[in-house]
Amino acid sequence: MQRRMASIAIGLVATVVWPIGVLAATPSPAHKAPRSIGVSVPPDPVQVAPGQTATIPIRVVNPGSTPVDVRIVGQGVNLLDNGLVQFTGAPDPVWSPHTVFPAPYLTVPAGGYITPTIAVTVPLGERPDLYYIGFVVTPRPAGSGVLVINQVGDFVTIDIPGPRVRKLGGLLTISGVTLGPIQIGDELAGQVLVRNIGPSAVLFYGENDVTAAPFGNAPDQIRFPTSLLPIARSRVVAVSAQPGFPIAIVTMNVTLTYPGLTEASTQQLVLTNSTLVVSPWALAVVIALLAGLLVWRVYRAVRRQTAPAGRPGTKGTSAARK
Amino acid sequence: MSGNTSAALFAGGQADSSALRESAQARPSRRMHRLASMLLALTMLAGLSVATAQKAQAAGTLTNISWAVSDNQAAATAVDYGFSFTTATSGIIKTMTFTISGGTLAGTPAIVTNYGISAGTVGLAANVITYTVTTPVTIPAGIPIFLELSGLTNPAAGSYTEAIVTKLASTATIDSGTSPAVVIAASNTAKTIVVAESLVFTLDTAAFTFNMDPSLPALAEQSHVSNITVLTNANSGYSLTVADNATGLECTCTGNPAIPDVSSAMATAVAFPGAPVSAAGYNVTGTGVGDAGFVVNAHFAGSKYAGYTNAGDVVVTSSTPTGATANTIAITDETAIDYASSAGSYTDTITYTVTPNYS
Repeated sequence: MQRRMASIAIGLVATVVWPIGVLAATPSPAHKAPRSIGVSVPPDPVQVAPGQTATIPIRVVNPGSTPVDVRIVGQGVNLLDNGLVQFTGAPDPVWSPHTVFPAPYLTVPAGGYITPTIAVTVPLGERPDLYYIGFVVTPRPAGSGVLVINQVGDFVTIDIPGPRVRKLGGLLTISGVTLGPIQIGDELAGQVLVRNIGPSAVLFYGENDVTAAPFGNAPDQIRFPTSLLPIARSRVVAVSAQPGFPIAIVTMNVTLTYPGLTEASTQQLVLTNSTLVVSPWALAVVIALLAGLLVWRVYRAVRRQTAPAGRPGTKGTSAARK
Repeated sequence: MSGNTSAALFAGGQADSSALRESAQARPSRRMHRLASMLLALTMLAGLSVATAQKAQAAGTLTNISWAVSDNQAAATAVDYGFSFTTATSGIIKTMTFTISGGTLAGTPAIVTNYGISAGTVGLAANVITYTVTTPVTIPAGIPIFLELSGLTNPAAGSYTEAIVTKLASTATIDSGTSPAVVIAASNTAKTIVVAESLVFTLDTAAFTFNMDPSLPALAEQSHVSNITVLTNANSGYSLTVADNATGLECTCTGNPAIPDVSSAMATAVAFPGAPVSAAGYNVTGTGVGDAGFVVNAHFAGSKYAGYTNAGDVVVTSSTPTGATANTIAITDETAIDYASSAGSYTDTITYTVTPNYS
């Protein structure tokens, strides 16, 4: 009887203590359910004339297995250098009075999507340029304790058509091991810093035409796809060129092209760099040859100094032989 | 051989002279002959170069010609035409003309892209599209040129080709060629695929709770890992920002005490001090398989923890599309308390924001 009572007591203690042990080992979450949201926007700017309203569709996707409620809220957006996007956390002071977002909450079905629209009315007198309407898609918070929210920020671009002044500035710099105009390496690598120095956003594209001398055929044309550069922003584009021979003068001719006042014309910025590219192997061979030559000359000099006066092959020797 | 012969002729009737003398007399003759041979070779080389140059100046035939339209419906408007070809002859191209066989072209063309040819203007007159280079430069032979124009209106149904001619400023033809036929039809179905810029962001945690007790180290410091995956086709990748409420991890109890952040921001991330201490922070790790531009901020290296900020810190960036394999990111929330922490419920809202970069 006492043994049975003892066993029951041990069992009870074990039952009470065990969960504590588990708690100590895994102190954790109350709500854990994967939640996915995806957002797609039109890839190209939407053209809207002043005074007109554009209805821009966006797509909110739910690849997950349970429905997700979301709200779409307008937020100011800053487009920074090199494509980075920053949200201000507050409504856009310029565009929020002219933009209508869908009312919260929208339910995105599991494994499905919805296509809400953003209505943007362009004020009269707004000058031709590209403008960015930022928004954040946020799922409805769920659970208690520390809430965790995964939201997606994005923006749509509107284009108010019309002639505009566009201007780009650029700088081509060479990176890597350089000795003045000579680069040691198997290729000529560098970067182009492109900066929008005009009063309008610019969509630019370009190419890097590479030639090499003395051995080289037609220029090697490397194209850059179209990139957006907002006002006063810059972007770094990596460029490189293959010499095609261990020692060669490599010329990079980088052309950045963008529209003129209208899209019926283009203008360009050309940046050029010529550098003598010397492969490390070629350099090693040259150094080895020079070292060999030096050793040979030293050897010859030493032999001349140490050779006896009447050594074979000299005039005296011939006379001696006679 | 010829040197020897020359030496013999130069020697004439001095057959009785010694071999040494004969050789000495022959040396200047050989040099002269070598010189003459070199001059002859150079002359021939120069002649060949001139012939080649003259040949290069003659009008050539463009190669690799293609003409593509974004919509082949008859009379469709706002159609993009793409022309590509390779130059056959080196020359200073001032204009390029594109003449459609038969039908009537309309619209106001604009330049979408011009590769391989300098900046210029485009116009449509008398059924001929003319691209005029603003500042012509020499375009060598073998250069691929691509010109995409927008704003054109298709002709009536029919099969058409485009005659492409590159010209000097003098209007003399440099190269010419004709594109393969494109069928403009009313009965065709035009297929256009527009791939949207898309981003999917998955988080495995909606909320979490720590049941903490300062009396036991295992309960005084606890952590939770939120697992994130990101997929995007944005050309310049994306950024992940972490932020929390302005009030931080705050108690609803009297006085609204808060558990302080382990550091003021990501830039001052530190190794987590461990209990007994009252602090909260997070660490980020991640992998971007197939995403060369994937980077977790270096401040988290060495298991450093950062305090949350309301303004947010960019903890992960990617400068390239993720590809088909999602980037995986683990954000570990670490919280520790001591007896200085008031009893009560502390709440906060942590927001992870993923934003595609623009390109």
